Amino acid sequence: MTGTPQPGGLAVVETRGATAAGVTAKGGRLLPPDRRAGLLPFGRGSSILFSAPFLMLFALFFLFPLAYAIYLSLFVYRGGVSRFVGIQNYTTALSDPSFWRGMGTIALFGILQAIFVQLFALILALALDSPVVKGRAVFRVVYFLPFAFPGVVAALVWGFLYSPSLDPALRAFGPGFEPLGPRFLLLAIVNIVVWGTSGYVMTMFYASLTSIPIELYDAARIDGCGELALAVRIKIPMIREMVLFTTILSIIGAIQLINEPYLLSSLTNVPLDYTPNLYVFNMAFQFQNFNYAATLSVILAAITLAASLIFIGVTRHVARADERVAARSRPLAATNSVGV
Amino acid sequence: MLIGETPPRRRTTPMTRRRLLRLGSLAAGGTVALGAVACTKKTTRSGDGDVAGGAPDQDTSQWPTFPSDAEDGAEITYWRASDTDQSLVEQFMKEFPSIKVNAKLITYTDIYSKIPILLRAGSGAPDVSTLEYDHLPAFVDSDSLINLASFASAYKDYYPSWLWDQVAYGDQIVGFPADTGPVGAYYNAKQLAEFKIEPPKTWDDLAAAARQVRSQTKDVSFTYFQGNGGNFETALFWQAGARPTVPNDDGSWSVNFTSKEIGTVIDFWSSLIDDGSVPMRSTGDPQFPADMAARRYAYMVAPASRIITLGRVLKPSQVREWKVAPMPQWDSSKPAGANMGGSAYTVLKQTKYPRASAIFAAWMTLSQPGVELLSSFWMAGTNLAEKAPNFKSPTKPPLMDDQPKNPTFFAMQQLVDTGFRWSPWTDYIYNTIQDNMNKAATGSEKWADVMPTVQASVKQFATTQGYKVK
Repeated sequence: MTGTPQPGGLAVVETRGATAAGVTAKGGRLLPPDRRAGLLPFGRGSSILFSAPFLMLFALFFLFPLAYAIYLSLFVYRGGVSRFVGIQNYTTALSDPSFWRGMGTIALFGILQAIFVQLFALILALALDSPVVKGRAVFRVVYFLPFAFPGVVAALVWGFLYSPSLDPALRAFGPGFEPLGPRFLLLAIVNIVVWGTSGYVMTMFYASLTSIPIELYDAARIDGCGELALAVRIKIPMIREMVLFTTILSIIGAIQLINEPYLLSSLTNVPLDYTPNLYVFNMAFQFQNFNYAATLSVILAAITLAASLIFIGVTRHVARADERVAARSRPLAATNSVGV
Repeated sequence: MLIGETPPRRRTTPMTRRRLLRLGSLAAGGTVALGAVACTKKTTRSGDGDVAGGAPDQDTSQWPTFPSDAEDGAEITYWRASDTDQSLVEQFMKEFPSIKVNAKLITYTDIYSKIPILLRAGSGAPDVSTLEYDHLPAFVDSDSLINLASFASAYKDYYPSWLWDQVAYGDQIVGFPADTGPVGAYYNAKQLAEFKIEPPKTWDDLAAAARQVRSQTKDVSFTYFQGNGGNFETALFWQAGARPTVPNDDGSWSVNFTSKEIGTVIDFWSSLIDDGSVPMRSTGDPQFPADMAARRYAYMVAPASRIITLGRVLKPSQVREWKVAPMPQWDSSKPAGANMGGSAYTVLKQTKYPRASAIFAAWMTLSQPGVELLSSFWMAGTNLAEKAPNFKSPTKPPLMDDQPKNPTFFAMQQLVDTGFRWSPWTDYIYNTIQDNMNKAATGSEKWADVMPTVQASVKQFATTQGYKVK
């Protein structure tokens, strides 16, 4: 979560990624201009020198595979011979119902998952933040634990819990309830992901809540707010930026969904094209069709990139709107750091 | 060595550490990391040898003879998917002291993914490997297999003609057929007697039996429709006379999954599934062995090798309730069979010892000890199976009345129709059939859409592999 532009961000941002221009600009306030200039004797080249390790790794593990995937996607491989086919694979992929059906599945998955995760995380965080709860530290750890559980193990354990033969408790839901049947499979996967990530998101919400200035609570109490009104009128509005941030991130993260459906496929029938990533994986490693897998990967990467750009646009917009609000009431906003 | 039935690969592959690592690295590298896996260079191979010298003429009324004049110092690597043939390999080395065989146990999943890559890399591929019939075209297309024709044609008459077709590609003979999976039926004779049902002779009999059992009880189904693997459907299509993938002379392919024959099969089973008489079951799911042990299914359309599954999931006393029967027919006056699984011994292009490899492949599949081993759990493809001393031995574990399985399945093997050709896209076809059948069985797709969808998907997949499809 580092490097995220936060309105009124404090000194910490100085040490974070130099790529987020907005952050360094703001952090720049902390050092006088003359000292900054005198730090290094190398002039402009120094910036390249210092970013070289990153750039090298970035080129090696991102740019090169990407370029190679694009190269592969322009060929078909048959009978030991690669043949150049131009954009034929792309025209096939764009009209490939398997791929787009998978996109539909993860769109639904992403929305459901985002809603449930934020909802549970918000309720848990607000509950932990309220003064009536005892044993706060213990519950914080307990709710966070599922996130520390390896995702692969979680999917397998849930898979067994979903099997009627292995989990007698399932019978309580009636004889027709098969979580791994095609009707419930998506919800079964949503459940695993919600279970695994709610505690993590809760921790972020909780951290945001603890940084709300105490004066606001005092003012609200004087105005007659109870605990519930505090939550609705003060706490949620104050962390809405964090909620938006985690919501969009989880929707984008959903595009990568593969672990759970892949692991559950050893217990039930999961279509080979259930999610786009699973489809790519099967295309490459099940059917050895690397060229078409590369094509699908490039398209999927383009979609993810577009989604990320939209995300950045939205958060900037919200941040600016917040800054305008903050400008009107400067003394309060100065301490309004979400510092995650 | 061999797995009689094509295993539903994607579904039941055990989650090995290697697969997990592979998955992990994929997730870590993101979607674009794929590029690093494949390469696009033309295949280079070390050996391109021929099986010099041929083989002696054979008298098919006798057990075959094998030449012993292999290359000097021949040492061959042999990949197999089961190690039940260890003693056979040792016996081979005793009879052919000039040939050393290094056997390696490996899954078919690994065989199909590793061999193409090793052939492209130029070294590391085995000399001999078992390959399933339905996966041969992909290897033939990439020119990965030694043409054994000059050596193997002497042994042609030991095989039924449909089986020889399975290893014949143009003027090439690419392997020695070992086991086969002629489809018949296994049935719980005790349960069928309680229901007063005879093993069905026709598919109509089967439908009547399924509905009768359903009207009497909800706890037992007469049979199930195997919903995993896609190979079960393919065997049913084969018997009905369908030819879904046919190579044309100009190098293109005709793909037809919407034929009348396939429609007949789908209509028949879909009505039984829709009215609840026959459930669609994945034999790979963890519940299946428990259901078998609880006698939830009384009858299975299955290849000979199903005895392995029975022995694994049932107590020997329960296996004793089961017997074997021929495959139900569409038209009893024109009986037809189908094959589901089986594999051939092939020699790969990288070998330095093509002749030693060919002798080994021939001996493993046609010598008396070889045929005996194949007849124990699977079904030996050769007509010599009838001559094997264990042809009429009880199965292990034994069936009711010590009934031998081989005579029933041997008879079915003679009825398998010729002219069925596999495509280079078998894995994909199996998977897409399976996915669409499962969707239809659970109501999320119309039965009428299943085969048109399969047709469109297969055509598209073939295109991305560089094939012209009609």
